[in-house]
Order: sequence, then C-alpha cells, then structure tokens
Amino acid sequence: MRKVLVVGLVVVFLLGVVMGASAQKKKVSVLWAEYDGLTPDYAANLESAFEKEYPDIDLDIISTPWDKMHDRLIAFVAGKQPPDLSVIGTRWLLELLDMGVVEPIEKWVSKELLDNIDPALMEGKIKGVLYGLPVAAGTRLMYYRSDIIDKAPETFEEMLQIAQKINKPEEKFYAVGMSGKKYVELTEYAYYLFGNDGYFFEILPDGSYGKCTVNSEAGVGALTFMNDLVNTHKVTQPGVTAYRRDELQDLFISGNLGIFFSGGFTAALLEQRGAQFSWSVAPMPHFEGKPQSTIIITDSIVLFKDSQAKEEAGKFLDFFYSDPWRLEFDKLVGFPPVTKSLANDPAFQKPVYQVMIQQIPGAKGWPLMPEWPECNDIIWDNIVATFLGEKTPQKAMDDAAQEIDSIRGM
Amino acid sequence: MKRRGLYVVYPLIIFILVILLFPFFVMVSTAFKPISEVYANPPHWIPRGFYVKNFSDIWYKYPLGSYFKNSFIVSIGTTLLNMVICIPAAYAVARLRFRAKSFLMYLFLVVQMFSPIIVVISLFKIIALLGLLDTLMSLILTNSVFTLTFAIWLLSGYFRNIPKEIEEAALIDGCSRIQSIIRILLPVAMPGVVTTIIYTFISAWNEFMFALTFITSMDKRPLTLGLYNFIGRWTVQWQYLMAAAILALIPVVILFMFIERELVQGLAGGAVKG
Amino acid sequence: MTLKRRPRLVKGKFWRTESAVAYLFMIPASVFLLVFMFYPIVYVILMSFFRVNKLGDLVSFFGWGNFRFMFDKPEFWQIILRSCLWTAIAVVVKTALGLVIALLLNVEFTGKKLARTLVIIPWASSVPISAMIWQWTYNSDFGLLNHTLRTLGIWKNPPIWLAEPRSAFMANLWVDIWCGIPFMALVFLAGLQAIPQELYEAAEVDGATSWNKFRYITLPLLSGVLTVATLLSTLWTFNDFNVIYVLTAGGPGTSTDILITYIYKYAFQYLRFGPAAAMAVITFGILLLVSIIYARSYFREGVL
Repeated sequence: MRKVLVVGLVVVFLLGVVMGASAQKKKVSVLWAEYDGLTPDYAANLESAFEKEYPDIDLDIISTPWDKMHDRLIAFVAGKQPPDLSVIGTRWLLELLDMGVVEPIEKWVSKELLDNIDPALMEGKIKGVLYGLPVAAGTRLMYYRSDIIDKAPETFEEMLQIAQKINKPEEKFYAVGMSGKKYVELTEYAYYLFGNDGYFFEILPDGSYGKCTVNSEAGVGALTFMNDLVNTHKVTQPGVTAYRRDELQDLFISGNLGIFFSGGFTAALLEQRGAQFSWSVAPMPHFEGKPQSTIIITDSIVLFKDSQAKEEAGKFLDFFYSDPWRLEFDKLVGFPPVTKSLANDPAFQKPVYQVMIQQIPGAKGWPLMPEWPECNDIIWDNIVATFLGEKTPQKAMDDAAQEIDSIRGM
Repeated sequence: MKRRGLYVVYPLIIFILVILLFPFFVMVSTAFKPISEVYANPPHWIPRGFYVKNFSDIWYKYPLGSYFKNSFIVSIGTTLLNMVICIPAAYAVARLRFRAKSFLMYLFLVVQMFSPIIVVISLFKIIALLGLLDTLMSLILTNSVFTLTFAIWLLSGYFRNIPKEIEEAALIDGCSRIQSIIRILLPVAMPGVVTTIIYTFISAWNEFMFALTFITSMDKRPLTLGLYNFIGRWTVQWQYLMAAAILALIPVVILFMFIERELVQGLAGGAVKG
Repeated sequence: MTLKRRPRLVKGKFWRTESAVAYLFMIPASVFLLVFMFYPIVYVILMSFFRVNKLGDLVSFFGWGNFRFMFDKPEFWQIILRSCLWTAIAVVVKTALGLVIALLLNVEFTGKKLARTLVIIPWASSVPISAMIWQWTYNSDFGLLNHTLRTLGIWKNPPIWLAEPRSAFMANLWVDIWCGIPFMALVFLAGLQAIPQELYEAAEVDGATSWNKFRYITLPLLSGVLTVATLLSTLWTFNDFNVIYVLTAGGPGTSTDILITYIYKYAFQYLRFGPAAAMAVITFGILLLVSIIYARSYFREGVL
C-alpha cells in the first residue's frame, strides 16, 4: 500500500512539474502574411529555429494569404481573440489605432534592432510614437522595354510622345499599361498625382490632414492626363477597367506592353518566367516642372495591446530581424532591405533595387487616416467613371473631394 | 422512348455539356501547361506537351494530402451530423401534426437569410467560447447549421410525397416508429436522401469563409483554404491553381458516381404497387 | 386525407400524442440552430439600431440612424434594385435550365450515367475558386473564351467582359447561374423519380402530347420540389457574395454591387458595422417578405 502511495505521489509530482513547465511556456502568436515569393518552409523553419533558441516560448506562426489578411485580422480583433503580433499593410495601422488595440512597440524590442532600421522606412510612426516595424518597403518604379525604347522618359510628357510612336494595337502591343479595376490600392492614380506634385489631402501645420485635394489643379491634371492616355490618345491597352495590376503585369511579361508602373516583385517574376525580351527599370516619371516623386508602400509588424506575452513577442522580433533571417526574407520577397546592416549586401545591387532605394527620399506614402479605405473607394469609383466617359475629370474629382470631406467632417 | 426522340436528346445533351464544362476544359488546358505557355498571347487550347510537373510540384511543395484529409473529415462529419439531426425533423414535419410546424419551418428559413459574412464574427465569438477555435469540429458544426434548412425542407417535401400507407402497414405489423422510418420510408425516399447527402457534402467540401476564420494552423487547413496558396498578393499562379482545383473536385465527382445509382432508383424498387 | 394515428401501445399517455413525438424529433435541429444562430442574428439586429464602434461593440442607441444613413446615399436604391434584378434573373434561368437538364437526364440513353456525373462538375468546386476560374476564362488576353469565340467565328469582336458595367453584370450573372445549375438539375432529377411511370403511360394511351404530359403530370407533381429549390435558391442568390466580389469587386465603380457586397465593404473594409448591420436587416426584410409570399402557396396546398 505504501509503495502505491509513493509511486502515486511521484507521478503526481512529475505531472505537476511537466504541467508547470508547460504552463510556464509563453505563447506568442504571429499573424503572418504569405508573400508571393516566400516559400512555405520559411515560416516553418523560422518557427522551429526560434523555439530551439527559446525553448520556453511556444511560437505560433499563423500563415495567411495576403488577400485575406485584412479579413482575418478584423475577425480576430472584433471577435476578441487578437494575435500577439501581426503583419499589416501600414495603412491599416490607423484603423487599428482607432480601435485602440495596438501597443507602442519601441520599449519591447532591443535598441540594436531599432538603430538598425532605416529611419526613412519607419512609416509606422504616428505622432512620434512607433507602433510598427517595417517588414517590407518599396517604392514603385517604371518598367520599360529597353529593346524598343532607347532612353527611359523622365517626364510624363516625354512618355506620351514615346507612347504615340511605339503603340501598335493591331499587333497587340500597347505602349502604356493602365490598371482601372478596383483593387485594394489606388496606386495607378497615385503615380500620376504624386508626379504632379499633388497629394490626396492638404497637410495642416500640426501635421494632420485637412481637406481633400484630389480636385486641385495637380489632382485634376493627373486624372486628365490618365484619361487622355486611355481615351484620347488611346495608347493604353483597351478595357482598362477590367485590368488589375497583376493582370497588367502578366501583359508586360508576355511582351505586350511597352511601359508600365509596378513594384519590385515584377522584376523577380520577369526572371522567373523567362521573359524573352530586354527590359529595364527607371525612376517613376514626373510632370514637367514638377519634382520627381513616387509612392512608397510599406508593410509593418505591430504588437497588440491585449498580448499577454509582449516581452516574448519582442524577442521574436529581435530574432526575425537578425541578418540571416531578414536576408532570406528580403531576397525571396523581392524588396530592398529595411535593415541598414544588409544595405550593402551583394544580393541587393541589382538595378531594380538601386532605383527603388534612390527614390526613397522624395517618395510619399498613403495618407494615414482611419477613413482611408472609404476614401480610396470613392476616388477609385470616380476615376472609373471618368474612364467610362460618365464624368469629366474635374467633375469626378470634385465629387470625390466633396464626398470625402463630408465623411471626414471637413 | 421512341428512337426519334433520341436524335433530339443527344445533340442537346452534348451542347449543354460543352457549355457547362467549358471552364473545366480551360482548367485542364491550363493545368497541363508550363508557365511559359500559360501566358501565351494569343492563348491556345491544346498544351504543347503533356506537362504533368504542375501536379507533382504542388503535391510536393504543399501538404495537399493533409488538406484533402481535413476536407474529408469536415465533409463527412457534416453530412453525418446533418442526417442525424434532419431526418427526424423532416419526418416530423411530413408526417406528424403539431402546432409549431409552420413557425419552425420559417425559423429554419430565416437562418438562410443571413449570409455567413454577416454572422461570421459573432459565430467566431461563440466558437471561441466553446474552445473550438482551430478545430475541424468548429467547421463541422457551422457547416451543419447552414445546411440544415435545405435538408429539412427538401426531405420533408420528399417524405410527404410518399403515401403514408406503406409505413402504416409496417406500424400495424408491430414495427416501432423508428424502424418504420429506417426500414421503410428511407429506402423509398432514397432520391431525396441522396440529394441531401450530396448537397451537404458539397457545401461542406467547398466552404471557405468559416475555414478562413476558424482554422489557423497549417495542418488543419481544408482544401478550400489550401487552394489560396496559389493566389498571391501580386500574382496568381494559374497553372498550379488549376491543377489543384482539378484535384479538389475529383472526390466530389467520385462520390457522386457511387451514389448516383441510388438517386434514380425511384419508386420502381419501392414497396408500394398500384 | 388525414388518417387517425393509431396510438402506440406501450409507454404512458404522453408518448401517444403526435405532438410529443414531433417535438422530440424537432428538438435536435431546433436547439442546434438556436445555439449557434440566436446570438449572431439578434446581435446583427441590435447593431443596426445602435452606433457601433470599430471593434463591433455597441456604443449608443441610434434608432433609425443607420438606415437613414444608407438610404441617404443616392446609389443605395440602385443597389437594392440591382440585387432584386440579379436574384430574379439568376433564379429563373437556373430553374429553367436545371429543369430542362433534369428532364433530359431522366431519359434512357447510353452514357446517361456519364452525362449525369459530368453535370455535377460546376458545383464541385467552391464558389470563390469557380469565380477565379471564370476570371481566367474571361481574361481578354490569356483567357480562352474570347479566343474561342473569335476563332470559331461566333463573335468577331467579343467585349472585354469585365470592363463595362453591362457586360460585367452579365458576366457575373452567368457565373452565378453556371454554379447553380447542377444543384437545380440534381434536385429536379430526384423529384422526377417520385413520379410514377404509370401516369405517363396512361396519359400516352389517352393520346397526350409531350407538352401535355409535361404540363399536367410533371409540373404539378414537381411543384413541391420546385418551390423548395427556387425559394432556397432565391435566398442564396440574393446573398451570393463570392462571384461578384472575385470577378469585379462590385466594379467597374459600383455598377455590379449588390447588397451583400456592399455589406462586406462597409463591415470588413470600412469597419462601419452599424450601417452594414442595417443593410443586413434590410436584406432580411426583403427575403422574409419574399419567403412569406412564396411559401404561402406551398403551405396552402394543404401540404403542411
């Protein structure tokens, strides 16, 4: 009887130890985005390597298709089960701030990490407080057929002249690619707007956003030019309102476009699909007399206020941002590095990276406001109305600005 | 049927099948092309070679086997749960009189007026409360909820069409009610039952919204979510997507092939004559 | 004809009543439904009458505010109208084609089993994936639809389907119809099995034409199944989110938006749960009205 008791006690004791040990294991969940180039085992390797180095932390990388990232995040947050960390498009940060669910991130990561990040890419800094670390950042640039176009145009006006010469619709070769289908990002208009020294909103002295300025001279000018390309000079592919940016990309890669605007990932795809023609990259054009400016788009990783494992989450960030992991990530995903330590790595010396990096100082980002998704749609719908001939550029942008101002209470 | 009639039937069937299966031909055409051919402009129907590497690529790079397994568990589980819950209910509606009948039938209908999108966040909270997040059971339960209505409405309608006399006869002979349902009613109502089974299985097999919201770990992903591996942020890998989609519909087609015989059995094999 | 139920011999009096057994049989389904759907539906209705914050929490009572907000938008009436038009056309076409196919597949011919199996294929893929496949097919550069139409000479200059509002609407409509045909065909095929062959034979003896047979035998005996299938299809089609969202995202502009895609945008993209809930309640109202009118004829046939 005594033996049984002793054995029983030992078993209970051991169970307690085991349970206690696992109870001490902190759980960190990361809502992770499946970038196109990222192989499925990257996340798996990252998870096991991290858990090996930190055996008392249970890391859970929740892989999510990018298109569904936002839906999932909203469901988790509104469903009161937020993850500890999440990759986000930085423009979503404002929504999350409005919901009051994100935590300033600075004090949870190491100083080395913060110093290592290129300050120009810290888009996740709102009113001086850093909420998100940049995961991927890139400026948009111009791709063109170097076998057909000798010198890349510097201005949009030059581009139009070249376009009129090389446009051959009967051979299914179109000079300029223009996307008109509603997609998450209004980038096509941003290229022309920024190139016209315009912006979506006026910036007030205190740094906040004032009235909507898409109906300013710059904004209407940009749209008029876009509309002329499509409907007056007809140098774009037909049916622009049916094309998303990835379909435009496919068109360029199959050799049917002369010029189009995109991000760094297109270069990777061109190589992957074995494009049979010579192509090159150049900075985004601008309108004559206006400064060169393109759009910079960043993704961030943010920490949630309700996280029970903030310190451990910080440790994961330090781990992930270490050189070997960031190098592989950046190479696979196709963006230039966000960390200074990798800036001179030979992997990033290709022209596409160089152009992306050189445009950073003059680049502007999306407006960081919680109502942006609605504003995005309003502007987009009005642009489509212009393409379809339902509104003039001026009326379209006036309508857009009016609706946006009323939503924001301006 | 007169042979003359067949001259009409055959061309019509073939015409309809060609139109219905057009995208399927597109799928097959794309799945057997290497990526360089997929983006040929103008496109062509017949792949230049029989390129099976797309299939082997996706099988080895992604845990397709696991996706299939999870989809099977969810679909079979939903179908079983549905049958267990709905057959009694449909029987009650068809054969028995009770006051809340219309009300309950309308209630089941009301549930279908709310799209999954609208209720997904609330359902998420319930599933979290039940501790069923990231389990296949959560999908079995939610899929059952959304396939209940059709199952009950169709089965009750089908049962009602079958004369009561055949069960009456069995009851007089001393059968219990349950026995009369299982041994007499169901075999005669097989087409309706089979329809419900197919409907429930396919609905569960193809369900996406709840899978996206409730399942987080890779090893519990069903096929619908797994196919999204090929739909990226900047490009869609059409050749892989088509190949995977073809694989994904095979189990459904096979199920249908097996069960189709029961579907068209009709009253020919039934117990009532004249 | 109502037959008197013969009471069962064992157990107490309670079990003799029809109602008791009926409720017993109904409880699993009803309870299951209530457990999962009571809270979500009630919460949605609540949200429509409250101001809701971005986290989906109720903040303050708003009365009809959310509804007024949506109705103030000029395009809202168009969207409601379009949703009804979308549903009506799609359901009618699906039903008609499904019926024709079921009749054809009910005929004895070699290859019947193969034909039946092939018909199920459009339904065998999930709707978002089917929509993606159609998107690829509709693609004017790499897609095979326009290419085939051109090379076969059927249509020299087919439109770029998703570029213009009207062709985009039809393109979306066709995909929804395509996805729904197998379901209809299957349900009607099952329904046809319940019609005794003897009735047709007797009618033929009396000299009935095919059309007469269809009109006086087939249709009436299928009416129960027809009602169920079309009613449920109406509910599902009205809320068919995936087809439109994947193909056009409601575009170009908002020309192919229907209520459910609008609800998605307001809830998941703009995080405005109040107006989204109001629209869900409006949807519910419309569908409830349709169901009541519809099902009344179903219930009236002395059938329930």
